Amino acid sequence: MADPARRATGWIVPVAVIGAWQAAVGSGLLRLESVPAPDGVARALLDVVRSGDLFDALRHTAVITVLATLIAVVVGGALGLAIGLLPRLRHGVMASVDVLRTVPAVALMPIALLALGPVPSTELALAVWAAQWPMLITVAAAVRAVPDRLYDVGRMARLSRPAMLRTIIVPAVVPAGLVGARLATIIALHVAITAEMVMAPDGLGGAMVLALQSLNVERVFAYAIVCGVVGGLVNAALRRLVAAGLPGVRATVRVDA
Amino acid sequence: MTGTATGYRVAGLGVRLAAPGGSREVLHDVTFEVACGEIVGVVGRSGTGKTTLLRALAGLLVADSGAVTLHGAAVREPPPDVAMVFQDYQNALLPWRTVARNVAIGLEQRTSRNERREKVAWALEQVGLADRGADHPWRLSGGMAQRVQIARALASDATVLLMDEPFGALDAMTKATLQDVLLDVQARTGATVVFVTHDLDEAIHLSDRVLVITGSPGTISTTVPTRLPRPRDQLDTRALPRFLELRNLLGQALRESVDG
Repeated sequence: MADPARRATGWIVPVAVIGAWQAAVGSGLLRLESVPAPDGVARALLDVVRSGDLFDALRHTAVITVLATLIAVVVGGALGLAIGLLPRLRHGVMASVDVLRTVPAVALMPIALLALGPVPSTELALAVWAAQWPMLITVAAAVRAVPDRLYDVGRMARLSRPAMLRTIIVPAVVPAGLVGARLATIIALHVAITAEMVMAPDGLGGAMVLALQSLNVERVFAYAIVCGVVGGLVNAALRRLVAAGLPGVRATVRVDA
Repeated sequence: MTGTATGYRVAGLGVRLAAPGGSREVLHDVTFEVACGEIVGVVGRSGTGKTTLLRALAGLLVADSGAVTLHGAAVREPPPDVAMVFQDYQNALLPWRTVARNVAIGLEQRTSRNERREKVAWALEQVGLADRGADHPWRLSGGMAQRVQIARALASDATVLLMDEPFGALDAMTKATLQDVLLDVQARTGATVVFVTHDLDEAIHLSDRVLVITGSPGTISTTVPTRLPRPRDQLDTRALPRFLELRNLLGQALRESVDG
C-alpha cells in the first residue's frame, strides 16, 4: 500500500497510453473525428476551468451527491438497524427489499422525470433511492452478525435496552455501516451524473451532454476525465475516513474494508 | 477459607434448550450450594451442560424447573453483584473500545467519571495491566485479554465471579500466571468464585471444592472438597500427595461417567 516503487509502477500504463495516444494523433496515424488529441482535451479543460463552467457543474453535482449520501446513510442506516433487530419486520419486508434494490435506478429516471419534473430535487430523490440500499443491506446484515457474546457482556453489565443499542449494537455495526456509506457515496455520484445527463443542463452530467450536443468533442472528454478523477478522489478520501474512524480494527482489515 | 454465609443455593435445577426438532434437556435435577468466599470448580466432559449451568447462575438463562438463589434472592436476570469471565476473549471484549473503557462498561450508568476512572485504574493494577488502559483489544495477547475480563469483573464491585473455562484457550505458562493472578485477587477481595474447566489440575489447584458433572442431561454426580492448604503454589501444591489423590479421585469419577 505505502510502497512508493509499486505506486510509481501503477502510473506507467496510463502515462504510456496518453503518450502513445498523443503521438498517434499528432503524427497523423490516427485520424478520427470522435477522438481528440490529449493536448486538445487539456485546452478544453483549461477553458472550462477559466470560464467557471467546471466549478458550477462540480458544485451542483457535489451538493446533490453529499446531500443524497447523508440522507441515504441516515434513512438506510435506520432501516437497516430496524430490519436487523426486528425479526418480524425482516420477514415481512426483506423479499420486497430484494426486489426493489435490484431495479436499476437508471430505469426509474423517466418515471421520476414524469412524476417530479426535471428539477434538482428529482435528481436528489433518485440518488437517495439508489444509495440507501447498500447502507440498508450492510447494516441489517451487520446487526445480525453481532456475536451473541457481546449481548451477554451487555446483559452482565445490566445495560438497559436503549443502552444496549447505544453501547453494543450501534458501535458493532459501525464498520459495516462505514463500508455501506462508502458504497452509497459512489452510487449517489453515479446516479447524480446520470440523472444530470437526462435532465441537462446542470451538473457534470449536464455539462457533458451540452458539450456533446454542440459537438465539442474535446470538452466531452474533459468532463469525462473530471468525472473519473472525482470518483477516484471520493473513493480514496472515503477509504481514509473509514480507516480513521475505526481505531479498534486492525490496520490490515481497515485498509481493505 | 470457606465462609459461613450461603452464596448460591441451587435446588433441583433443570434446563431445556432449543434444539433441532424441539428442545433438549441439558441439565437435570442439579443441586448444590456455594458458600460466600468459596472457590468452586465444576469439571465434566464436553456436552454435560457446564456452560449452561454457569449461565443459569449468571441469570443469562432461566431455569425450566428448580430454583437458583443468590444471597437469598431468586436469580432471574444478571444480579448486580455477579460478574462473568467468558472463554472466548475475542468476542468478550468490545473491539472498538480501549482496554480502560472495556473495564468501565458496567460502571457507566452508575458512577461518576472520577469514581469510574479510579476504579478502572485500580482494577487494571490488580491484574498487572496498569499501563495498557489506552490500548485496543487487538493489541493484546489472549492472556492479557483474559486479564482485562477479570479487571472488568473487579471494577464492577462484583462479589461473585463466574468463569467459563477462563484459561482454556491459553498456553500452559500463561495459564499458570493467570491462575496465580486469580488466587491472589480472590484472597484480597474475598470474592465467591464458580468456574468451569475441563482441566482437572486447574480445578484442584484453584478450588475449595470440585463438583463433577456427568451425563446428558448433566447432573452433579460427585462433590470433592480439596482440603489443600492456602496460599497455593504452582509447584509445591501440585507436589502434595493429596493433590495426586484428588486427581485420581476425580479422574475416576469422570471415567465412570463414560463407562456407565
